[in-house]
Amino acid sequence: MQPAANKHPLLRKRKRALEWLLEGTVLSSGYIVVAALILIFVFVGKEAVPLITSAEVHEEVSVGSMVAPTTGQVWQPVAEVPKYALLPLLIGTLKVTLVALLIALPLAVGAAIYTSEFAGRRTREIIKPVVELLAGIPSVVLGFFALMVLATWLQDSFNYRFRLNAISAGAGLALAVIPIVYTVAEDALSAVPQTFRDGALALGANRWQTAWRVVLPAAMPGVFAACVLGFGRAIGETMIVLMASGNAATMSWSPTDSFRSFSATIAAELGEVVNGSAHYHVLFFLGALLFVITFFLNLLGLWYVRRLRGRLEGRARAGGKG
Amino acid sequence: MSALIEVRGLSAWHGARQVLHDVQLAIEEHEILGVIGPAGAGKTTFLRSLNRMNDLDAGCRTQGVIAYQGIDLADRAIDTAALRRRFGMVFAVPVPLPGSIRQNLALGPALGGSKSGLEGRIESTLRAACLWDEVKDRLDMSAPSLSGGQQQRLCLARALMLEPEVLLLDEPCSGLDPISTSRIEDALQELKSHLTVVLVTNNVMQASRASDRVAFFNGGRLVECGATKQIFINPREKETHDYISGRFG
Repeated sequence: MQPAANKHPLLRKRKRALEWLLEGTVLSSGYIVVAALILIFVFVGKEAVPLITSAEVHEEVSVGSMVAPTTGQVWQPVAEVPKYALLPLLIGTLKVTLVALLIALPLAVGAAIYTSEFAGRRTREIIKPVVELLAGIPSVVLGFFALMVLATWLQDSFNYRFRLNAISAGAGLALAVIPIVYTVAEDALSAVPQTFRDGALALGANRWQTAWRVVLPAAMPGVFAACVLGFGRAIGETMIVLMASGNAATMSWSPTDSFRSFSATIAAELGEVVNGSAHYHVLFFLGALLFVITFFLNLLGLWYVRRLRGRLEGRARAGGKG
Repeated sequence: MSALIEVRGLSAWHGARQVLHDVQLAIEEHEILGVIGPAGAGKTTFLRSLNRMNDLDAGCRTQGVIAYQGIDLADRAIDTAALRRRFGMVFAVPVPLPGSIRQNLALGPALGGSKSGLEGRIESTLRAACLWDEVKDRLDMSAPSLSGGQQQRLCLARALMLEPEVLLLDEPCSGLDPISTSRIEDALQELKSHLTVVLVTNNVMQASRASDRVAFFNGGRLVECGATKQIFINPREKETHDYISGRFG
């Protein structure tokens, strides 16, 4: 063994203090983010659990009573006899998310295809930043716009009974979803190698066929990931829905009926609720439920994105797993 | 035999830089025309002007006449999609499109709206591209997972699915091993009975093996064009002689 002073240059040296520090900082920021996510869920979950376990809470409400066909129809938490219902809120949440995505996804993906495949460079340089700016508009402004302008205009156009409903809120929500989906999808489409386009054009494809049959399938993992992000934004968005939904907890799937969503319910009621009461725990239960639904749908989405990507890169069949 | 394609006075520019100077060249029916020349000689630009792929490069501009069956292929009035279906092209880098081997092959016919007899044509084009034996049991396997040489033969088969009249090959063997290269060369010899091939290659030996006639480009000019034997044994120009004997390039 040689003395440490003249070690061979290929042998590992001791890490210097700065290196330790930098590595430690990066590592701990990573863990802090993960820990924050877990702690949020633990906290929300802890406050939601009494709904399932506490006998005191059960005198007023239980998960069973919230979904039962007899007692789980009406949401009146501050009435003389409080009534809690899960289904109307779930229906409202899913209804508005569906409407928002039905409006936003085709528009956003269509706009992304247009900018990446058809628009000239000048046009693209204008459109892309402008749509991305839309993402910076506070949702309270979008909610205000949906409440004051869109709702009236939509009611005048379609002539339905309730001014504030899943269409007005969904349209407002779509304004929040479009920029996210658009910008991620556009990046995915622009990242498709030019050789794919050349290959398709050399087979006699026109520009539309090239975009639709070659570029879009090749960018599908990214485009789908964009849609998953859009879904996450839509289901969790609060302010727009709070302002433009009418906030009536109905059991109706009709988009022209008013509704009430999980997020808006929590936002509207949590500030007023008695700490530790049954109502308080119910609201946390709603929050936990929203968290779980979003988490698993996102997970499902990411799993599907990976599968798509694997199939594109030719691993799916060769390796047997995506 | 009259020429299938007659290129007259073809010049091309990339931006302000002229990359083709007044090229005059006739391409005969059922021949393999090898196009050789050092890097930057304008070989690819020449090839891509034949099926108007140059149109796709912003800043590329051409001038001149490409006479074919009494019309000018360089004319604005040409339906470029239809032209490219008739003039199939294979690129230097294989471009397997996402999807299975079968989907890759079916794409060309599907773009033109034809679906009949697809299975039979898939087999015959894969045989023509010397790929059938290697992939016949796994046509639904993803195309990008093929090896480089197989991918390139798939691209050749994909171009053949369109039943083209002319095949434009842009250094189709540049990234391939000698065995894949010789398979593609064999395939070309079979194919020339019913189509015409323009083969751009950086490999002088390949041009001497595979082509009936050779055109030598240098600095954007067509230096000379003649029967392969004549070019390799007795070139008219000293430039040609220097290039094929490896003294420059």
